[in-house]
Amino acid sequence: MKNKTNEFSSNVHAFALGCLDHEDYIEMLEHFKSNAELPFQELGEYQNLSSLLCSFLIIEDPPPALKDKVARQLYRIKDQKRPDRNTQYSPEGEIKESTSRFNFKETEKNQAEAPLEIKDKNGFEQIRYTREEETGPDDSQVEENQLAIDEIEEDGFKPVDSQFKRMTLVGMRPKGGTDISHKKEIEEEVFESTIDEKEIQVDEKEKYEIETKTQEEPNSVEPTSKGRTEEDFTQNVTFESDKNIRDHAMTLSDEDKNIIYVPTKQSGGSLLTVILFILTVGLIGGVYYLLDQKITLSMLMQTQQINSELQKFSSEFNVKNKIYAAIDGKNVTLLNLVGTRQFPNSFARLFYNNETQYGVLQFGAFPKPEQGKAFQLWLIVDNKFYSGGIYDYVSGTEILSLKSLPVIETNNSIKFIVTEEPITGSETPTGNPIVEGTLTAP
Amino acid sequence: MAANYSTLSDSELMQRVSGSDSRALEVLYNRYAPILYTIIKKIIGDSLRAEEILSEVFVIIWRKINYYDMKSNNPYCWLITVTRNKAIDSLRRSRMQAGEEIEYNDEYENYFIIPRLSPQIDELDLKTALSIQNNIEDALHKLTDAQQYVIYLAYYEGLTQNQIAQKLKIPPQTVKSKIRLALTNLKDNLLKGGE
Repeated sequence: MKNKTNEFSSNVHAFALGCLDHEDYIEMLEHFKSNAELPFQELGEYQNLSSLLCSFLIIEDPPPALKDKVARQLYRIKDQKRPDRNTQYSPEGEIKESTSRFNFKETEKNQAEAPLEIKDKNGFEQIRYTREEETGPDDSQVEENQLAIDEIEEDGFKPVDSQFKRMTLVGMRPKGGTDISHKKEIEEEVFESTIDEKEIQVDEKEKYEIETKTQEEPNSVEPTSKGRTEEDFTQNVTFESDKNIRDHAMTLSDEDKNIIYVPTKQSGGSLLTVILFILTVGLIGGVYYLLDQKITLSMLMQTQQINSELQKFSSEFNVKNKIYAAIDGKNVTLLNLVGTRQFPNSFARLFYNNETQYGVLQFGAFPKPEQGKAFQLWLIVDNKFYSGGIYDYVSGTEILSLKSLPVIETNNSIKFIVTEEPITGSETPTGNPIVEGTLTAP
Repeated sequence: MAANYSTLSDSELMQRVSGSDSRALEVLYNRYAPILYTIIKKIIGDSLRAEEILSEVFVIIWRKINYYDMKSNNPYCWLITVTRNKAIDSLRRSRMQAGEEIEYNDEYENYFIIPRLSPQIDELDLKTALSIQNNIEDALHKLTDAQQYVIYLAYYEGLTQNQIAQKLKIPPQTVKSKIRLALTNLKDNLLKGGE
């Protein structure tokens, strides 16, 4: 055992680095749960060290669209419940409720601990559990319909889906009934239950004693006390398996007949429980739906915001690029056009490369034109108007590309104005100038 | 008053994710996605596949957050190890030949992808990890070439001890001792560097 422990201890490094071979890895996990002598402090240090190995990589951002993809994937699993942590291996505990094919070493033990469900010819459900402290009935006893009662260990399995969570049964019970033969232990839970309103007790004389307990006076009811006989049972209770129970009870041993069957069908409590269950499931589903909506919406909004910002940056980049193209040269004309008295805040800048005959007019704080109108640049030379281009307004800071201003052979000054004109343009200015500037003669 | 998520620690975010707080997961994504993506890409090599794995990792984080021990206060190691396990698993599967495939299901994921951190592990978060990245790099470069290579094969190539032995044509026991020596020296170098 000590050698084995040493071997596992020597595997701690490889375990932390994640390079143990498959079988060694499984054995290591096995050892985790069974041996507290492992150098956990050392393992923790190497696990941290191992995780730090990647910290100095040159960090690369994933594509922004991936976040949206993750959100969509999470949305797809919105209806899935998170698995219970109890089903996972933990170093101090055990691998619980694992039916994994990879849980090789656990298989035998789990099979031994798992409930056996056998149905006999009468439709009775035979359930057997074993426990570690006491020797439970073996398989042969089960086959002989031996009855026994066990208590579930806190960290064990949950064999019967009923309110009696801490009680487990070994034996048989009819369908539609719940075995409550261990009455003293479960008494409280019976009263807490909303399901169990009627009970049938099978006594040694093979009589069914039925008691009705109401929710109004739960404490006055003794679940196993001698109550009315079957004949006194005035309520219209239909117990589907009555005949089966009676027939079956005939075949039971004396010990078996102490079992009390609590019919759970057709009780108001059951209906209430079902309704509550449906409401709870609906509520949980609703919460999950809302949460998933929230995460998707949040991520989508962020994606849209990022896209919007990208578009904005792209647009700004294009503007700067065009301006740069206009001013990249030796013979460049720069002219500021200032707002007229009517539009004092508006301004424009003209950049024109005389070598490439390419320029831009950058607009600033222009008023929004009327519908069907646009801004037109004019060159005025010797009282003649030359159109410099039409700018279809988009925003107050956009630019107008001037691929080729009219070639004007003059030695006089050139005045530039921008007016509001029909979107198709005018031959001469019809609107009031918004900005103006003059390029003086050389 | 709404919490300012960006100021929450990694552990606090993990706790909130455990409480199904999707906003916390989003912040955790913003914080961790770059380094996790980098690891995956380093292991897998393919950008598109790395993106797929990263998204799968965050689904695992969301679904299996209950397996993370909040008491450990070590979200960094847990997240890095989940990611690395997932990437290595994908890499190993790509190397498998027909008939060798192992079904990937929930149990498999619980057993081989979800990390088992030591119950006595020290606290660690992303900020701390990144603050000592230079020390780690220095400590790693002080190892011999052979030790570095063995760590590389195990950490990024996803090779097991036996596979490394086969690749290097040396006995598995030698690989085992090299790994042990490499990690021990790495730890010593790191401690010396931090002094």
